Amino acid sequence: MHVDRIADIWGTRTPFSLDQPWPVRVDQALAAGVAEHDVDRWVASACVLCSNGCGCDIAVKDGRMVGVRGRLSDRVNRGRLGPKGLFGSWRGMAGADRLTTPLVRDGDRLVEADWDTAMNRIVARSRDLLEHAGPLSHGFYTSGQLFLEEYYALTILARAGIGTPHLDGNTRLCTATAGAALKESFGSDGQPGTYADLDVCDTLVLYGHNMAETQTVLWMRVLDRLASPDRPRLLCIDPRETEVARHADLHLRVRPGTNLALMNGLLHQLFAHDWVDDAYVDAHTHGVDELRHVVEPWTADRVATTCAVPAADVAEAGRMIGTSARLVSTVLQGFYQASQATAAACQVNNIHLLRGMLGRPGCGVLQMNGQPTAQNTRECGANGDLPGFRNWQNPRHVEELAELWDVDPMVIPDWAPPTHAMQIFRYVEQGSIDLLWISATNPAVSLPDSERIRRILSRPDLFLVVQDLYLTETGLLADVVLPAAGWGEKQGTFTNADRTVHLSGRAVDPPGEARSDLDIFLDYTRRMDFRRRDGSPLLGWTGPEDGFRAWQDCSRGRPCDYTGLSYERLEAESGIPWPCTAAQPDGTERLYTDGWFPTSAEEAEDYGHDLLTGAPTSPAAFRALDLHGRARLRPAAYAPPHEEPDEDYPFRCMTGRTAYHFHTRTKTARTPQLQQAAPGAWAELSEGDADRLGVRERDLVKISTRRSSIAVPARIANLTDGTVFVPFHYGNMPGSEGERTAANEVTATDWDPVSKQPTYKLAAARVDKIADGQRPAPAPTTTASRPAGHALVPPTVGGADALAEETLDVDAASASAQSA
Amino acid sequence: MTAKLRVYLDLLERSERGLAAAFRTVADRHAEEPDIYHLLQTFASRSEQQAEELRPQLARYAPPSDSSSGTLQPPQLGAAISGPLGLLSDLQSLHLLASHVQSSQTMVGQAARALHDEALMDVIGGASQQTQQQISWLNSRMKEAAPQALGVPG
Repeated sequence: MHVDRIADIWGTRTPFSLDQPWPVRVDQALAAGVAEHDVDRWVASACVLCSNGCGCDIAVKDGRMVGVRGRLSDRVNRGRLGPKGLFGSWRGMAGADRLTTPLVRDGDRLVEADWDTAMNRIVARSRDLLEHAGPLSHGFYTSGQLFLEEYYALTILARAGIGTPHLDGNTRLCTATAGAALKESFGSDGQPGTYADLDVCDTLVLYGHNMAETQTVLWMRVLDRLASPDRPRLLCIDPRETEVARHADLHLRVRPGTNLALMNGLLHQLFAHDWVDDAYVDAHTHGVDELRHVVEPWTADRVATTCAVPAADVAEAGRMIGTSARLVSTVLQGFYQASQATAAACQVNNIHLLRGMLGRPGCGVLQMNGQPTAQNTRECGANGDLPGFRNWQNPRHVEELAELWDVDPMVIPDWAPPTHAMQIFRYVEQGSIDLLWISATNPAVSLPDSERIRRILSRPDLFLVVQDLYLTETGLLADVVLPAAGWGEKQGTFTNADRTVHLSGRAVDPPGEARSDLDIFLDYTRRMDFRRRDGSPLLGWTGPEDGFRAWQDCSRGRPCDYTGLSYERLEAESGIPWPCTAAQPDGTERLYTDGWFPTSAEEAEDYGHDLLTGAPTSPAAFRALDLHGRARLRPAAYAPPHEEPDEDYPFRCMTGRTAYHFHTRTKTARTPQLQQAAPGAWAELSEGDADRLGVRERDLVKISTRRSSIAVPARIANLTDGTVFVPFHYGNMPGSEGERTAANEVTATDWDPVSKQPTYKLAAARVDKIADGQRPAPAPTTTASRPAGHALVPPTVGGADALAEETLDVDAASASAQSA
Repeated sequence: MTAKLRVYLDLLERSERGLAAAFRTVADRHAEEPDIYHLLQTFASRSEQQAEELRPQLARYAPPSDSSSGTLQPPQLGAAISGPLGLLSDLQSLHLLASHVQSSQTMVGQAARALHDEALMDVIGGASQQTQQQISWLNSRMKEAAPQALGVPG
């Protein structure tokens, strides 16, 4: 059947009960005028337009990508795709304005150049800086969009080639807190649970996670369970009335900035009613007495006052969690991009440890990722950590890397924690980093306080390299722009939020002279003549598969062991979850099934931090904890947020995502179905606040904070009084004119002390009407931005161009797959 | 016989207040480093609170008749220097001030223990944990900042 998947984001329901597998539903979208029998071949891949990692096949005709189909055999999606995947994954690669040749700066212009010219400029500056200023003059800021092999190459060139600690990814903005919380609680990164836990849980809690829009296919899985008579109970914690909230049995509209107080209140309920698995806690955890002490004052009444949530609802939420038999929790940006982010995310882990609900079917934590390959950024060390979840405070781990790379251990920067993105930009601002290389990310729009970031990137002495698919707002400021090949144009692997590894094939040639990010990194390393101690090239890889094999060596024996995988297997079998070894050839669905955690000093990726200050725990102090494989219960005292509303700025402003766009719209704005569904920025106000301000739907409002202001149309929506929501996708793209609309014009430069993730979810703001509305706010009506009450707003539909084919008949789908 | 303890209680109280003031001064000097700015405000409030909690303890010990011991003074924050070097030197000054608080706490705590003064022991016990937290952070932040501030020309 054909379904308008812009109007119906989640498609047709396929309900299933506890004892059934999630049914197959194969989703397919092809370019207009292309029928299935026209397709020359299908190339296996997985979608990169959110962190879910849905297995898919790319349709190729006449050397072009012409569509996509979900893989029915894939454990992640069982054939389904979301609107971004269906329409944007391939279409977003084919914008007429793709970069096809390198560009170099000539005064105030960027002019076309050949690869030699562009790379030689980079190498000349790089060599000069290394000679006169040393390795700390170089910074690298990468992405959650590249492939595993590319991150690992970048890490080796930065750590072992140059020897700089200044390497981070934009995963700092999306997933840093997930990794940090896992390390604090369990000793190492690594998702404990699996998506399959959603199928069999009896209670599901979404903490600041608007799954319906951030991972639409995962939400389909939940919707299919909710549509069954034995549905799980659903608890939603979010200040907005999201699609998740609409389906929830209980919705706590927590006041922005107070997550930790709420979490301490929920833990209080568990202790107060003895909903604690004492045997598990005794055998497998450390720190229960201190945790009990810290949460003791957080009665439901006190939580109600601090978090603006009814006390009875706090007690009921505690009861839902406390009486569950199989509990799954998922966490995302509502916690990660908020104040006390790591501390709050750790409390979710604490709940599961207290209840002994880890490592069993239906009992899992999913500390989610925001991006498709963020997990690889973390594993490979392109987020700053050492590769293979190694510990910068463990000399043996550093030596292992030096042996793998055959370099002097002295060159690997292990003297302090790696430099996080916000600090890298601060060093650029101060002039001590003079070469900044940005790959596949657009910080001019995505980092807080955009005006400051643009100023930093425009500093005359800075040599800025930008490598991307399109000329972004950031690329415009570069000294050298490198045209990158992207999804479907290069081969490589990546890993989703439940550790499922996919191989993405090369379906078509990249446009013009564009090259894969891997080729670019290898080229630079070759030109710089970085060498191993034996004299051979530091990165002698001939292609991605060499990189994968090198990575397998690096991962051997570590929690993220890839040694049982191969390109061959991934191509033949679709997604497989790590760790995957010769002993566990099918991969590993759940971690910590035996309640044994990687918290020995020898094994731990991290010795933890003071959750208030972010100071790392010393090796000696960590050893003194004597954990012996026990997980750490990490208590944390609530502290009010840094930026509170006042008379001048009475609102709490938060930023976030809509279902139809990804990031700064690099691909999704170039996909007509997606762009038309959410064509421009808006701000959401509550009905009560709109009445008080005299703002009607469509009116142009100015959102001002202590930094700057934006002007966007108002949507009167369903959110807590006193809060404003602004989507973060809408920068002023090259060529666009008019008022500033990027949410990050108004956000604050501030971050969590442990994960260093910026605090996008809270800025004190004022709202002023500046003009009567001309046309409806461009906010979708199908999502959390749907109009409140009965406002007359045309519904969001896709029309003929947005029809996707959904096949529910498994046998027919199988036959079709076999013929491919 | 306990008059000399009062001298050190006074010194500790002044040292805590001086540290709190220094935290705020350094926060303002480096307001463009948001991690430092916000955390130092938190530290300042806590140090002020620690000083407040000492006051009732002070009153329980008679001041010394000999005024010469009143000349004991905690160390002072250095003058402002701009840029990354100034940040390092300010963090180092704070480390010195906090270490002075810590060693004063140690001495007062030892005396309290010997005098079986449980109330004073409690106050010192809680406070010294917070001081250790401040010192650990200062130490880690200096370690992070030093290579860039000292190792890169310009």
